[in-house]
Amino acid sequence: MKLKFVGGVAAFVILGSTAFAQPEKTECLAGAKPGGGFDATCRLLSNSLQATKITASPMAVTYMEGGVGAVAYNHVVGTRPADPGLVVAASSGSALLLAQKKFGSYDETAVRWVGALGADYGVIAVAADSPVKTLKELIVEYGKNPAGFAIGGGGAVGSQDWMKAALIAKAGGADPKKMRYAALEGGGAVTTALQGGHIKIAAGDASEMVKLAEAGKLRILAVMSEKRLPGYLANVPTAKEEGLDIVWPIWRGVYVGPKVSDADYNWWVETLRKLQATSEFKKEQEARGLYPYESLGADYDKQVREDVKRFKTLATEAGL
Amino acid sequence: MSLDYLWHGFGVALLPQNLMYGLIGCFLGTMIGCLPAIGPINGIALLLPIAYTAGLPPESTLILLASVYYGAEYGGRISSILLNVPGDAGAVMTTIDGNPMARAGKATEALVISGVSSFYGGMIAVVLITFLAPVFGLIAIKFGPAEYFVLMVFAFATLSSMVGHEPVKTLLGCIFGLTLTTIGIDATSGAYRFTFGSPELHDGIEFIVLVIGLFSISEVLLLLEQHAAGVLRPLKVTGSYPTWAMLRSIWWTAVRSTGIGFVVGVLPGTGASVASAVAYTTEKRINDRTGTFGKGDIRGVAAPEAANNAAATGAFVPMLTLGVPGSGTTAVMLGALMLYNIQPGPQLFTEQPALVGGLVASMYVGNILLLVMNLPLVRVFVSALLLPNWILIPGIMLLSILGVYTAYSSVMSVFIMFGIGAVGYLLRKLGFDMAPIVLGFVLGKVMETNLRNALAISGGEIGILFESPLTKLLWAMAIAIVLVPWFISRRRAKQAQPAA
Amino acid sequence: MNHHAVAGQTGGRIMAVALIVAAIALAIATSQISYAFSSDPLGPRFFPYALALALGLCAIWYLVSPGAADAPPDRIGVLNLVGAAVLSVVTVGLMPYLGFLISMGVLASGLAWLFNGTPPLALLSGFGQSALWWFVFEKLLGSNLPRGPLGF
Repeated sequence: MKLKFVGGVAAFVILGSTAFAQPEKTECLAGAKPGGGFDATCRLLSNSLQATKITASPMAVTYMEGGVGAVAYNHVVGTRPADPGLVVAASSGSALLLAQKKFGSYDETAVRWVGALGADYGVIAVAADSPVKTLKELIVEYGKNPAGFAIGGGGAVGSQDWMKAALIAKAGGADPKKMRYAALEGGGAVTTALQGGHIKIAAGDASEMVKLAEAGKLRILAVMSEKRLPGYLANVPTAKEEGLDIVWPIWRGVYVGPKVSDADYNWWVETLRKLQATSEFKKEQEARGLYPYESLGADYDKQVREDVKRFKTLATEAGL
Repeated sequence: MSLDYLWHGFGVALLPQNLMYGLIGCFLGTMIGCLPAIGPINGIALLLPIAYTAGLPPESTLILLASVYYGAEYGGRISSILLNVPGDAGAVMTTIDGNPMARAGKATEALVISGVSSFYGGMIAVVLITFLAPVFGLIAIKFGPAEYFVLMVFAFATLSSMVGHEPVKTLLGCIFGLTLTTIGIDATSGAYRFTFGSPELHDGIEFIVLVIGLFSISEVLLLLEQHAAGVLRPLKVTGSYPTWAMLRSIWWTAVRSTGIGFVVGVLPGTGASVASAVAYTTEKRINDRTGTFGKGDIRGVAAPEAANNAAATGAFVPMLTLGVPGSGTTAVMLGALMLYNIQPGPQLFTEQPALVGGLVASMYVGNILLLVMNLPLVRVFVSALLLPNWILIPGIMLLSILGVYTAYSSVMSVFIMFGIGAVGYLLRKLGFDMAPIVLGFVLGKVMETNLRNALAISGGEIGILFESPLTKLLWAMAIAIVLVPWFISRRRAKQAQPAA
Repeated sequence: MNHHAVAGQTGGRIMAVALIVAAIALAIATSQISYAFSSDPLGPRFFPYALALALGLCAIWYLVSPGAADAPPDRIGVLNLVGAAVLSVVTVGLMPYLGFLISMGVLASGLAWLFNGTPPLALLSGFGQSALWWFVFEKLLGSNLPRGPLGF
């Protein structure tokens, strides 16, 4: 608490001294097609910066598709490492890919991690008419008959959704490699397949399932967060409450190039800090199905490195 | 379902400012569709922040964006017909008969017929949305991996119509297209296939890169060769409009193609490019008795254009009924809704009747606007053909490079496009059609991923591919589309014999 | 006509041999795909192997009956094609260093000249079009085109 206060004062001082360090032209790069999670992250940043008038000129959102952010990562490190106005959208999925060495030759230390903008949380859901009512029950039933439960997720073997499914399978005493797992094209395809009865269990994120659960189209058994989430999900237990020690935040954040100066890096960190306190930002965050998630500057940098380490262990355990 | 929301919606869509946004959107959409460099998804991504910043209410934003979307499906045909360069993904098949018509001096005719077909397709599809959206939403849910796989089998069965007198070339083209889809991260196992350590290849070859390379770059090379040999003649342009009889004669083609396009559009994971391809090949299978398809048959222009507009409209169904985008473009529109604190989902119909009604009503208005706007513009577009080659062709080249560069911000993808263009040039010289390549490419990924997912779900049991009533129906359709035209032609031959 | 057909057959046969080589290369590259395991019984190698087999068989069929094809370009045609290809590759390769406007202006002017534009007009149209599209994409649409030393 005390530390936070000191940090706040320090931030205030730094902010006062570096207010002029604002880059002339700001840009947020989304490493995918328009319409995905990276795009949403950039829009969240750009819209709330504009609404709060924290930056003078509007922030441009640009796209560079390829390898779920891999092309953008390589581009920033290789071509625009010192551009002070450029931030790039990232997510815990980026950390996972970095852990699996799928971002080319660069690792997680190649860029400067600025801060998180919010988080979504992993959920496990079943069809509305499923006889299974709780996660505990599901794990027991799954353990008895793994072949009876086809699982669907929005990513390939080794992706976040697959990992969530693998943790459930392991809890039930089954081999993750023998899971009947369908890698569908994104969260929308997963919820549709669940409603159609093509899969029996869905591994996904809270934001893409909550509206469907509210409408009675599917049932969320557990949320992979530390504490219960607000709103409709307040009625849904956490995985921990159900006796399964899994917390799976899907954070969304931004990084800058490796050669961006400390002054510019700090300007971004403080801008995010200021921004996250505003009601405009909170509104935008909520609209995108994200929950507040505080991790900025050095904290965030440390957290990304820890995540990468954690994912490496998980991948090894799962036999990847 | 009561239609109150629609009457209410017309009240919203016909407000002067919304009418104006619809008009702006239709015009921009036509332009965006016409330029090979940008497709509807980029156009919408660009417009969205402008609309939001300008403080437009949600229904106006949605009307603006939606009209850009289906406007682009109208516009895509223009460069397909005039330049043999598809303006966007859904307009690839329009080149097959559209460009031969233009070369024969019937550019105006081809543009009007395709414009009217787009109108038929869009309009019938809106009527389907109005009355049957919830029903089609249920159909989308019924499609699991096994059903998608058999749907792709059906699509390949329609491809049998493309087999001409040199089946080996059709097969090779198709295999080439299929092989290209295997490049990139494997969607099931996450394995990196044929990426050679290059992150640019992680997502595989993009459709736009393939299409611009195959059509536009190879076209420039062919024109250059003809020019060097002194056989390149300027196109003749005549201004004759099609007759009423012609517009009537494409009606059933348009209706069939709309049906195919709408269903394919409703399914998330398949879009306007699959829709127009299947519609074209089905129409050729059913109707090509005299071998006129591919040489400038008006039904060959009508089928893909009706289908791509129907698919663009159909893509709204999962968005409105399930809260799931039916295409990349509708995904961006869902993002637009979130900006306004409107959570898309199954309750959208009941919670936001003004928004949904306004959107659906604006589609009626938009299609009429597009038809009215497109017919007089035809003359303007056709005049592009009057430009001398030394202006027109470098322009095509620049737009091709821009189209790929702006999408991927990488020189590497431009080089990939050049490589594909060079292969396309060689293949065209050797008498290969480009269409089977495109078809193989469009269908390949969906086919492989869904077959493997189906088998993952069943634990390797092949039976899952024949289990559900829907898979049985699709297998029957696939067999019918191959056998029925064959039986009919045999019967005709028999009937003709005694007469002779 | 006859002459064309024969020339085309030679071209077709060369392509068929190239395709057979490609099929073998595809099979070898497929065997190199590495993965831990897959959740489906077919795995990531099944489709590429099947395609390599189909490609090989069809290529042999094509070799046996190459069918009709257009005549290959004459010497001037080849010179034009090679010229255009070199020009395109060089200008696009230099685009990140020279910027969009200059490199694409050179490309468009060069192509205009190849299509018989007289030099002054070719330059005017080439740089004019390059500037027009640069303005549309960079200024109106907000894309990020490569910048040269002069900022465009």
